Amino acid sequence: MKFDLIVNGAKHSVDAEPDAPLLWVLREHLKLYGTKYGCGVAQCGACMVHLNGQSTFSCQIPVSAVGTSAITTIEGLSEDGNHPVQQAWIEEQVPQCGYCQSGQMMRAADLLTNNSAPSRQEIVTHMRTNLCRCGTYPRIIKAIENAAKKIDSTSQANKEVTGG
Amino acid sequence: MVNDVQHTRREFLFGSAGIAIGFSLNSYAADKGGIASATSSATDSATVSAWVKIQANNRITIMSPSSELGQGSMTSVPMMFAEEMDANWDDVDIEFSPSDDAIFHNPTDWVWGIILTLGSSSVSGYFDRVRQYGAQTRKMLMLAAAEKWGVELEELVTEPSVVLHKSSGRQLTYGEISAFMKKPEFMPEISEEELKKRDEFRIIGTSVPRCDIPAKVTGQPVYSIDANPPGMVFATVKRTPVRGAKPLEITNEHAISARKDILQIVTLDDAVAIVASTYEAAYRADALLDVRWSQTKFENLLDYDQQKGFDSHRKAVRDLSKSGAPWQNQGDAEAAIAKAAKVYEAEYSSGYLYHAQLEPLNSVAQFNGDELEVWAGTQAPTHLLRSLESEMGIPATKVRLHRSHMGGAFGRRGAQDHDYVLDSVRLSKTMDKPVKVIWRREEDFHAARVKPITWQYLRAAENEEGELFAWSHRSAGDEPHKQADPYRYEKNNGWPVLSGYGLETGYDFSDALCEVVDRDTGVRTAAMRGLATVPNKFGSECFIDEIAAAKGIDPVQFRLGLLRHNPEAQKMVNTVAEMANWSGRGENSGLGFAFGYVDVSSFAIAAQVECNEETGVISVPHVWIANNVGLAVNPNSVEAQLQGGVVFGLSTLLKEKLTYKNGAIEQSNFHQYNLLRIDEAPEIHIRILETEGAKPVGTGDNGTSVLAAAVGNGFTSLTGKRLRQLPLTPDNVLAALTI
Repeated sequence: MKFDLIVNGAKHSVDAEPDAPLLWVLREHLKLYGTKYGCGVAQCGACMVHLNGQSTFSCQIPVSAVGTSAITTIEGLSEDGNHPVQQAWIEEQVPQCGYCQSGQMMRAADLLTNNSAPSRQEIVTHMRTNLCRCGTYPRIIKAIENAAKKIDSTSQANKEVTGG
Repeated sequence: MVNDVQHTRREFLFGSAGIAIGFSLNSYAADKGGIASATSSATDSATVSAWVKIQANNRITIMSPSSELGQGSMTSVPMMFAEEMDANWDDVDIEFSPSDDAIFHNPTDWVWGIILTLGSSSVSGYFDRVRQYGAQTRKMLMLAAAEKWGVELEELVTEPSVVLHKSSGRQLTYGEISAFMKKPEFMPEISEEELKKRDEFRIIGTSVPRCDIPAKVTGQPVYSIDANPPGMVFATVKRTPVRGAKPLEITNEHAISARKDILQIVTLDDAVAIVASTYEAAYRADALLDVRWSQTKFENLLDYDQQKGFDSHRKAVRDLSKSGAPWQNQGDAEAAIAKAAKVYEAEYSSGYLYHAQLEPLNSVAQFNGDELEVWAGTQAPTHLLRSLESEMGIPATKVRLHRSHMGGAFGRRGAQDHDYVLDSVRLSKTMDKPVKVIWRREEDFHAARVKPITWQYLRAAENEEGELFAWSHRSAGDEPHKQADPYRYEKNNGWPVLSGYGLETGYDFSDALCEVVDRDTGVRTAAMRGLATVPNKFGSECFIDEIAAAKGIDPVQFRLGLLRHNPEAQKMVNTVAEMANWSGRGENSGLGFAFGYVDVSSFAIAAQVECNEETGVISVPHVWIANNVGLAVNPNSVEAQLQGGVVFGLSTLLKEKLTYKNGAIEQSNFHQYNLLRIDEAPEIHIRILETEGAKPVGTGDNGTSVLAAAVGNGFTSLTGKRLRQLPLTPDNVLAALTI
């Protein structure tokens, strides 16, 4: 069945079963491999993308349910990798194996869109949806605090490539 | 003098001109399988040796023999090469080395001459060798410049990536030299004096950013799960939940085959695979697939559960008529205990653990005629080649292996047979198409190669003066090497290497016997981060606290006394005690302490423990750790490893319980097997110590190794009760509180 999707500001037409999880449509149909498969049961967060700017588990969304919602993946978080969250992730040298980090960054970006100066408690409460087996949690917290400062100090809000 | 000159002559191989790869942010090219690697604007490249390529534009590509599983060795090992080569680090690109043991093996003796990334041995193992090779490269460049200018070698110096003739002011970049440099027959010899002095290091000891991080921050496809050669189909593999069983019948074969996009159901020796034209079709079908399995051929596994394992290990470890493999043996511990004025004794135990690497195991394989191309993440690339040859008759010369970054491994991907790779190779052969195999997370659980359970029996003897002088520690458990690395298990003559890790006491006793009582429950096992150090030190470091309490001595003071002949270790203990404000703690503080000495690396750890006595939930808001790493090649990387090790360790000791029923693992996903989440992570306070003139030692395990003991000791400080079995999950905690 054909579905029209808006991903990172561009229109895509995919041929998939209605119950195909968005995760696999993004990865194997659209070749956007930045979004990761970790568990398939909304326990790890590696699959997180934005739907209309809000982070969500793409392993739980059937492609037939997306409609005209704007999907943003890690590839579309910024034009050239310089979203404040991505910059902070590099400055703090957050990733170890890196596999969970796309989901972590999408979840973090979502937090900072709605709360530009989160406390440590607000950070960890928001981010607990995302597992990291390598144990980068201390650096994730530091990087979010770092990114918050960046966002606070720039007049222009970071733009996601949503389009529509 | 450099040892092993003969080896370096063999090293001198010239391949065809290679493509330099860098890790700049924006420019990524994809290989045939869609896996990204960064590329600089290509010019002619000179392959100077198997280890390094230099382009005319001065880009230098250095090989990383180590795999990258998040630990940072892919950056740290080339740092050491670049230092002695005197390369400008800003011009350095890094790529994974070819899978050639002869040239790239880790020199660490227990690695037995292969490429292997585990056991915290990359930086320490390659430290001497790659510095020699780097220095040889620099010397070759200088000799070529000297010949060109008609001057003596002694008149030349280098600055990063440049050779200078000071008296005439002439200079040539390494890139310029590589264009005319003739390839000599032998590498120049390097004496110890020609290597840089420590105060001349420009790169080693600095926290250069990791080369792989930019790609991982922008979602580049660098894992084998991301590979996608044209024409690829997809597969799941349902492996027998009980080791040693076989598939007898697929009871719903027709129904599964009839589902949309399903191409074929393939029965393997110990598994059933579903091949489909989309992964989601295979994924859904795998959940519905119903296989009737045979009975296991391993008697031990018939109706096996972990309690059976605990019971039999306990019996074995208490049976002193059966001696174990003596990990440490000095004096005569049994005789000492027999005549001692007082004997302390205790038992501890630890449960099963699952690696839980976040990237489910997977690989991609494709045949071109009789040549195999495979994308796989592995800690042991040459073991994979050996396995392809022994299991499928495919010689290494016919294999093109793309070494992928790994979304975690923790020991799982060092297992010799590479079951998760052979799956895609077999299916690719059957389907005559490229096949991507991804184990569903549920299947990754069911086919897990677990950290084995242990049972510990400890005794310590005291003389009439009240001094502890003899020590006996027996640890019973399966030795993972038997299954995971038959090559090295044989090289070690069956010595239970992994089970004995951390068993030596590290303290000063005239008589000590620390033995591994080798068991074989039959479950699938492999090495896991922390190794047996975790349960062994849980036993010994908690026991030390118990003895100190019985004698009314402060646990830190007690340890200092037992380390009186080891000032370096005492320094470690005092450092952490000070960091954690040990002397300022109140009664029932919940502060717990532990000390560890693994190989030549010593570390101490303190943990602040809190406990909700109604729910049995332990939380650890603070951890303090000091680790002497000899030399911190990349200090930020060392810190990251210690942080990661603490979080990993805390997760395994507080949250992770894996159980068996009828020989099969009961848990199937992360809702049943819980990992530590960010709101449960401690604040981690780290002090990295170095020793003047020392070589680097490993750090990957150190955050994990003695943390369980520190938390156990903190719990006792808080509640007065003693926890004796890992994990310290609420059920175990509540049981201990009611005693």
